[in-house]
Amino acid sequence: MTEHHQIRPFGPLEWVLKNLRAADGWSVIGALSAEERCLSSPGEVARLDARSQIRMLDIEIEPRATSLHLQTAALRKDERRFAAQKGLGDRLTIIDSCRLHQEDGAIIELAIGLAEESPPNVILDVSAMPKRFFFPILTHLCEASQIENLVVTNTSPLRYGDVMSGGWDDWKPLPIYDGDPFDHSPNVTLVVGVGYQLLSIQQILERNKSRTAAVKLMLPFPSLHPGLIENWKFIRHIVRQRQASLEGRQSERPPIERVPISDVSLAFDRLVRLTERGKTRSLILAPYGPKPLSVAMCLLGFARRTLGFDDELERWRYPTEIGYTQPAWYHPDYTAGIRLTNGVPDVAAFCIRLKGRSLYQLD
Amino acid sequence: MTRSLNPFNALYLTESVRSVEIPLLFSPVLVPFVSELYQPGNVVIRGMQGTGKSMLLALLETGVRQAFWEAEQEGATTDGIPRCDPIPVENRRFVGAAINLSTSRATKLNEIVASKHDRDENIRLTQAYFGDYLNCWVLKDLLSSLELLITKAPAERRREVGVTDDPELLSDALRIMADDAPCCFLQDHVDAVSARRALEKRMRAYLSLLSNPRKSLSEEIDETRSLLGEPLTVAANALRASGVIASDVHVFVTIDQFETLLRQSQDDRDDQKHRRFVNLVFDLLASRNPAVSYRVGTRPNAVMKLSDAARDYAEVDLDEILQRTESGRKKFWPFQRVAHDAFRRRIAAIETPYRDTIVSSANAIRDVFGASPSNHDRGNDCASRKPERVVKLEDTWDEAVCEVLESMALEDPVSAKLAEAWIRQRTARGEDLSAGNWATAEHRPWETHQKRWWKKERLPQASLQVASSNAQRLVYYGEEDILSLSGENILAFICICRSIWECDARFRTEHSGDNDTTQFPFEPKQQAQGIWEASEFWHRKIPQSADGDTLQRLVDVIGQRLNQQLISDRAMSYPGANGFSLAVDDLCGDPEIKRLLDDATAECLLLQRAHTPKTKSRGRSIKWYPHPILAPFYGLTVPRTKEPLYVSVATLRQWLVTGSVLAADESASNKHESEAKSSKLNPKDDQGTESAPRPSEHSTSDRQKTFRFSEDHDD
Repeated sequence: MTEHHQIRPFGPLEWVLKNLRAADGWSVIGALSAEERCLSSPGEVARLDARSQIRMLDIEIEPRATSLHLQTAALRKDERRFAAQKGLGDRLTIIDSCRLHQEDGAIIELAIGLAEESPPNVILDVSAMPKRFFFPILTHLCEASQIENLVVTNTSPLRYGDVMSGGWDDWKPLPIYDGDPFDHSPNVTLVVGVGYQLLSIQQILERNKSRTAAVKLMLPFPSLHPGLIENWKFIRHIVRQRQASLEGRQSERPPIERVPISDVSLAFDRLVRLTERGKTRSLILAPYGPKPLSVAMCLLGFARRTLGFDDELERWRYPTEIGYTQPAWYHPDYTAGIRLTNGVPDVAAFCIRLKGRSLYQLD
Repeated sequence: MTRSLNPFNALYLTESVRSVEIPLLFSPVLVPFVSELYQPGNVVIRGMQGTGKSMLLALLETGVRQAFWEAEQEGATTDGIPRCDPIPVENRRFVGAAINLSTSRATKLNEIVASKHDRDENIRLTQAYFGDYLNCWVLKDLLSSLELLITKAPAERRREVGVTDDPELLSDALRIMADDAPCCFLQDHVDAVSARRALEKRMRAYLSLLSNPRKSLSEEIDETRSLLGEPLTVAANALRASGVIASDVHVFVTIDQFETLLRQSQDDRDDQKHRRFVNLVFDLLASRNPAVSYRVGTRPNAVMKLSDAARDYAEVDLDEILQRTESGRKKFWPFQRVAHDAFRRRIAAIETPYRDTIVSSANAIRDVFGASPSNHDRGNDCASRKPERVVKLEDTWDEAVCEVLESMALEDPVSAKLAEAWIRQRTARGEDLSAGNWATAEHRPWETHQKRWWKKERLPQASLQVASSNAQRLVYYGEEDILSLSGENILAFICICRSIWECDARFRTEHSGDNDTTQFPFEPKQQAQGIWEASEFWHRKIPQSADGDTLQRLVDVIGQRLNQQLISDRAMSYPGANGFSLAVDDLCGDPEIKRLLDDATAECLLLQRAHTPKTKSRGRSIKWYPHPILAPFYGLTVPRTKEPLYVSVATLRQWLVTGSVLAADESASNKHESEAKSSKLNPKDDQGTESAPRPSEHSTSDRQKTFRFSEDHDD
């Protein structure tokens, strides 16, 4: 329950679709990948809704000498593509010519196009979609006025791999969420989704050295062994960096907010609470935690955009920087299998917009 | 002392220390070595991470200069630490402006798609945007700097710099600028505040293209766009003409984070995503503009593709400066002097009972850490009491020889290890091994004057082998060890000091409950633990750098290989195998390997040195060592006194492929995998059973994490 008592339905995909009863059929936007789970949500929607249409992005990863397992990953992705074509037939449209490291401008253009071409009922499957793509796509789907019902899905895998990705780039803002390099407000809030990949908050806060930076951590809960240990290593790493940089000025440990690993709604509310009802002037979000938390961060970024643009100064009233250290490659065993519940893939569906009304707004 | 009062907690001065603290904490020792930075002309400053590049460039910032001037005004201090402006008076006639290419978002303009179908046009347009954006940012910063100088700087300093005290002159300068085409967009903006606002608005127009590719720039911007550097030249001339700055005052522009752009350009393809901006900056440096001088920082091995390097810019190589010795002696070489000064300044910044004693000491590091052990003692301290765990005897050796060695192993394990190596070398040459010639201490050949270098070069390896055979780590402590392990890198030095301070505080809290009674010199045990933790920290922080996971695997492979070599070489034939050498010609044939080694050197994970190989036919060669701070972590020796391990690039490549640093040819395994399985769209097709997890087919290095996640994770 949020402060403004907003009900945001979520649950198993089958249950959500059954209750929404979209008259015109659903359109799914997903991404092909080496991961088996990339086809779960499209497959389930196809099974449940005979009129559904599926659009899948085939995102190419450009090879580098140090990019490991690319050939295996590409081969696996081709197999998924073949399986999707075979299983979905002419309901499937594959969007080629996407590149993981292509310009933000091209990705945003793709997002705008997808949103413009979308029918009233849309499902965005983020299970295997990189952040560089799903952040702008979700943002533009939220902006598209013709969309009546918008649902985000995420499929749980059976397990995660030993090594997931590599070749991490420098911290860089994700498309659309560049923040404001001219922002001189005295305070900045950095909310970090706790994950497994260590990051240098020093790198993020460097530009804010003359400002008071409040660092807040969002810890996935329940976090089980051995992921739990990695989460706490991540936290200890951040805390040590923070204490070092604040020597003699401020000594408190960054507050840790626990968020459920599969509840976008609650994660969004916690984010809103941590950021002065979502209206802290300068906000940096670091989506390193579970996917639902990243979705919530994207929704907060979008909700802040809706608070307005100052035409005279040509700037957002509430600028949000959402950044990431983009991997150059993903392991073909990033995840394995699909978690099943009663024989059905465990696809969680989160309603973002219902009957033309956005469920994730700021007061 | 409490843990929160660790004087070394903040590792980086530029990132976490406020400007007001810089006069006390900044060590000016290197300033005389880098005088080119404060003189007219373009300058490229090279150095690996942690050598202090950013701080030396920060001295050009008006805010930092102002902090020094304010500290001077506060008067003399009682601690004897000078806080005055470190730039010599004769070099102070300049005004600085700067842009950080990353935080300003200038480099992100390559994410704009300005022309969808014409790649060359897209490159040309984004280059134009970048140039205009950089001009605006620097001009805005220059105006801010001047406002600060005019309104806040002490009159004497203002005269020293050559800046007016009349703010109205700035408006005159703006009018002159606006009359010139490259700055015509400043028309109607007659004061600095209004001009800065106009510049910001212009830059925001470019930024808006980033988030909305369907937006276009106004005609006014398109028509008034100027080339990179042009408005800055106009501005510098206008400032002189209007009297804001005197005719002999220079304008220095720092382009920060250029090294990041250079690094990223290595991954460019045909779209020249980063190279397009790198080339622009090169052109700027090559312009030899007398009105404005540019400063850029780069990594140690960055290639500057300029037209005529000698005339285009002066180069300051910090690594080279820090490695300098005086008459070949490492006493009071620049790094040692920086370390001593930085050490005293850090202590002076914190109120502690020992502050005054240490700050006034002529040899503060020695007072706090004491002397280091000899290599001989270091090894013996880690030795087993069981001779069989010190020396390995061969069945073919004479019984008397074995007895002597066992006896030596009980008395002096390191000497026994040297004896074992000596015997192995002699055996390999087929020489007489009877013990009669060398069994007594006074007849041991390696103890003779002629063999003193043989012994000196092998003592660290002997100690390492003694410790390793007893499953112990070599302990490091004391001034000499700390300075050696710092590897001429001030960041590594501060990191070691911080860890020792932490360990000591933790130890005293745990054992006495009273952590306020710091005793100097610190206990060797706490120092050794602190140094180990610093080494571990240095290794742990590798993934934080760009492509850090790859670099960590690279250094892991090299560190582990060299450790194996040093330990398994019982004859100690290659005591210099704590590093490896590649022939330059060989290396140039493999740009991927070269790039990895360059990246690791720039991140201060490897030390690179030119050297003369033992055979002329090998040609010009370069050797690399894991940075000394990593020596405890990997179990390597520290001194770099002997020939390194000679390897070919092909061998190194094989190591790196085996260690999952470089991609292997996966085609063979893919074929097998492809034949073995068939993919299904929906797991329910498979009678509702769970899809079997795939076995992980990759090989990971020993130190890679091998945990399995049990909850959701993001990509």
